Amino acid sequence: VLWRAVPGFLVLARSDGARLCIEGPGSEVWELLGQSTSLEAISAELAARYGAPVEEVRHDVGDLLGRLVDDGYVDADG
Amino acid sequence: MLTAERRCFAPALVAAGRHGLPVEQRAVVVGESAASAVIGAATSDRLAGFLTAAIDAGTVVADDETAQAIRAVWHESLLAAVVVESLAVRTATLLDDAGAVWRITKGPALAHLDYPDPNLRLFGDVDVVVHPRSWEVAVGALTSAGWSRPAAELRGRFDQRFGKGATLTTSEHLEVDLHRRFAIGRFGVRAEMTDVFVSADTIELGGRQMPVLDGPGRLLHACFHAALGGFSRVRSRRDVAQLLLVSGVDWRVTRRVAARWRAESVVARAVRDTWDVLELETGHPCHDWARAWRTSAAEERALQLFASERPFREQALTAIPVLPAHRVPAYLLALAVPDGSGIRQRVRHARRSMADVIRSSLGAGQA
Repeated sequence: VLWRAVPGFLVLARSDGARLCIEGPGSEVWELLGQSTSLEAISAELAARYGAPVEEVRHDVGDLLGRLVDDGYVDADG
Repeated sequence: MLTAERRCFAPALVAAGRHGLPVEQRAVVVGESAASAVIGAATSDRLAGFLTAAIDAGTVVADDETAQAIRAVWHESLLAAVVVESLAVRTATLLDDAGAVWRITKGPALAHLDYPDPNLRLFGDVDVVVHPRSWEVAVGALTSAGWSRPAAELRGRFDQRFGKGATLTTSEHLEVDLHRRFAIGRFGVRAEMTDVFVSADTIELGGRQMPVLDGPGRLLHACFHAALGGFSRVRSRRDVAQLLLVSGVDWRVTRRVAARWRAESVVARAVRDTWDVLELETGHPCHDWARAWRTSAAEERALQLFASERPFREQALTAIPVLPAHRVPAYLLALAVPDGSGIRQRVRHARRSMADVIRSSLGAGQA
């Protein structure tokens, strides 16, 4: 997977030409994914950054990671 | 001396081109009347990354609408960059499977090796330098994969003997530029391209290690592009500045290779223009050398032909004075009577075309 992440924007491309653009904090999730594969750790970090409830953040991050796995941008086993 | 081209650059574009260089940054305000021109130029010259960074840093001041428009262009360009990098990986696979020797150059190589943030240096196609011994193999590998070559080779083996290269287009209309040389005409035709294959750097794209030109080779190609490439105004000069002032590549190696190719005037012009266009006050020994370099009158005429973006054949004809005499007829024939469809119609006009070409070549400058 090829990717570019800048504040507020993430773009991913697979070798078969498929691509995905995500606006918002998705780029931060992607960067944190490079440091940790734990949903809990990523959610806790983002919740701390934004002062948001961890449960709410975990739900959103889980949705995003699920989509990335389903679309083949992330391996489910990390 | 200020050139006409130099005066055309909006201060915001110059500020974008300077952003991140080890020079004093100056604040520039983008006025309402200049906004659309700045956005257009940043788009066409792929400067949206530098310009957004300069806006975020406060070096360039723009209203919210303009800043958002530039940021949107940047994001679109980042999408293009990953698509291009994906194409680079496919290209690498095809070339390696065919046993070709090659190096990535320009966009992805510079973005990943010479800029601290690769997101700033944008690009729109894949550029690959092919080893002279691999040229036919490389072109064959990509055309066999179904990629098309819209501009056919002028005549058999023209690319190998004289040409700059070939553009191959995928079914998705993405382009790969295969470079046999860095330029057409007098500055390209004498290049011994094996010189840039002596060593290599590498980048990783999509988990794959990709060979790229080494630092002096990247600087040499950047100088050719800045001095002879035409359409890229500020960004190509920024690449030269980045390689010299940030990457600190060994420019003396670049100069030695240029000397072997008798293309020192190209490097000198590119470096002088870089300092002029980006308004650099910083001293550098390469700039000192470039300022002292004396370009011959014939070289100056040739450089002007490229700078003014004259048509392909006019640029190609600048090679005539430097080609060995026995190669000139084949060169002129290829320019006057290319192979390919419509050859019979072309033959009707061949005698006149040949006369035109010869007449033009006499005016193109004797060494």
